[in-house]
Amino acid sequence: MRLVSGELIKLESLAEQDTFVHKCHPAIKIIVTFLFIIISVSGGRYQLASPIALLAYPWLLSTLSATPLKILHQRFIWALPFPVFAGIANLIFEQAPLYTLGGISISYGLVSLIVLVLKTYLTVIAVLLLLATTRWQDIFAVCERCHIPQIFCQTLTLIYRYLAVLTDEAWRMYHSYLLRAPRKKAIHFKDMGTFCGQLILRSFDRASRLYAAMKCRGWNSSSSVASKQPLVFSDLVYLFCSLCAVIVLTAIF
Amino acid sequence: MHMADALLSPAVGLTMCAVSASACVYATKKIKAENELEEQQIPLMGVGGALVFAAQMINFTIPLTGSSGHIGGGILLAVLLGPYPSFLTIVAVLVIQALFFADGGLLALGCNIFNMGVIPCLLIYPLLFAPIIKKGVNKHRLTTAAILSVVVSLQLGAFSVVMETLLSGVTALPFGTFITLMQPIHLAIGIVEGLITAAILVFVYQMRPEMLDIKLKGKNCGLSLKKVVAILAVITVMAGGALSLYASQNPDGLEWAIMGVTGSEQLIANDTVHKVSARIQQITAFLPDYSFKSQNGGTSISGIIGAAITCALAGGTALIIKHKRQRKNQS
Repeated sequence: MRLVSGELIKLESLAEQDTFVHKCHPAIKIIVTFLFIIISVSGGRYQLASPIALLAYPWLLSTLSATPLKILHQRFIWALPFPVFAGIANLIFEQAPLYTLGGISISYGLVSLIVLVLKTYLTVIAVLLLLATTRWQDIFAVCERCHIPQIFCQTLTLIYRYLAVLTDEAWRMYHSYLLRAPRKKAIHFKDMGTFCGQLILRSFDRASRLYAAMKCRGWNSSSSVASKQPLVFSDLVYLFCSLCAVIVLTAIF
Repeated sequence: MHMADALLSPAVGLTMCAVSASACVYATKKIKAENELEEQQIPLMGVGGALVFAAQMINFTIPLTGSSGHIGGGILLAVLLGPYPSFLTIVAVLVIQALFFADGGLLALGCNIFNMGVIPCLLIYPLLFAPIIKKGVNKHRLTTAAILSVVVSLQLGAFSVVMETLLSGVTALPFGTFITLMQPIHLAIGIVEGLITAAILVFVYQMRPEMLDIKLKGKNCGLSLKKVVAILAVITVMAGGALSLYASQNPDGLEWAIMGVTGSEQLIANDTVHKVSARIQQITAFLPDYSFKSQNGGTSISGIIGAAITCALAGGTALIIKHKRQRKNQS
């Protein structure tokens, strides 16, 4: 749980760097990321070459943006369980051989499992790279410019800002519970209602204080909290080059 | 229950994005039209979202199993904030989880919003929870409503996951086997989560009844119980009819799957869901007829090797840039 605030800080600090990728317009980066994800998942279940070739894009981008892949790989592991579960099912149900390499046959199921893991890797790393190269406020500004309702944008910001505080509070309560119950590894089922109920009451009280503090500082529900970045020629060059690279890689393989 | 991008085809992912976006627009319009949201509630939505996030981080032990789980929070938030604000809050939580914690994905966001937001907040809360406690809030009604709502939400959510995955054609699991795996697991999780949600709501009701009363007392929330039962009956008959047709064609999903294990490939060729999804994917697939593709439906060895070389070249380039940057920084 404590990881949450640490992870958020890590990504936020990465987004504050000053590379070419970081300077690009956030809307362009969002478009490129979304199209990259669609292209990544478009390949068939047994088309192994396309996702392997597409690995080039996130690896190059991470280097250009000076983003350590190690941090992103740690997050990737969190996303693995369900795709691996689906992939293992393929491994069991599709045992007919697809390739034979030096006498060893590789089944349809194994290929589809590898393809699924690769697709998961590509899509997860693409999103994380977007976040590691774009400040949260800039993404927020794009949301506002796309006419996403302000109430939603504000809720998003408040959740994001309040997340670290609340998880810290939950973490303290959790630890004090475990200290009072020495032989337990997690909260006992019968105590969960009281525990979460206490957390709700504390949180909502804190929300009231937060609201009062925000009002004192001139906040109202229609205030915009995002700054706008103009679109420049280099952003369009970045969009064009990224899409060309991905399309060419997919077309060849 | 978070779905990943890799488990979806673009057709299914984008369709569900459109459905969920419509639900978001609808919820926002309802909030504005009914003037349901007071300004003071915006921070509560923020805190509520963070709370669901924090609550999902806390694992609890599931009795007699030795395993652990966490709560989902859709119904809980709906009772505390109302259906539409809670829906937008859940959407915001899912967006943050997808972006920062690799939990779900951008393309899968539509599916996840539908499974964990639309179903509990916009369908189950007004159709099941609200009618049960319409006559007045007390501990027993809260408990019954919470358990039933959470269980039904999770069952429908799990069913949606199965349908979305199968329609995308990424798994060879037959419908029967997949549904047999998913529904009972989520029934167990739903009962535990329902009990916890009920315990939380009862605790809040005892400590601060006004927090629930604002949303529930004296308010015409949702349809009458009779209408709900009638709607559910119609849905059950329709779903039962459709499923029985399916069952008559494939009497035993597991036996059918074992036939596939023997190497006859029946599973791939005869699966209607996969045929339909393959057709959709053929239409939507990006550059589907590219070269290097072998006749057996996969990619040829030369294609894979070529892709690996490209990848190695990219990796090499990345290493050179990194090395140069390090030298530049040192100097």
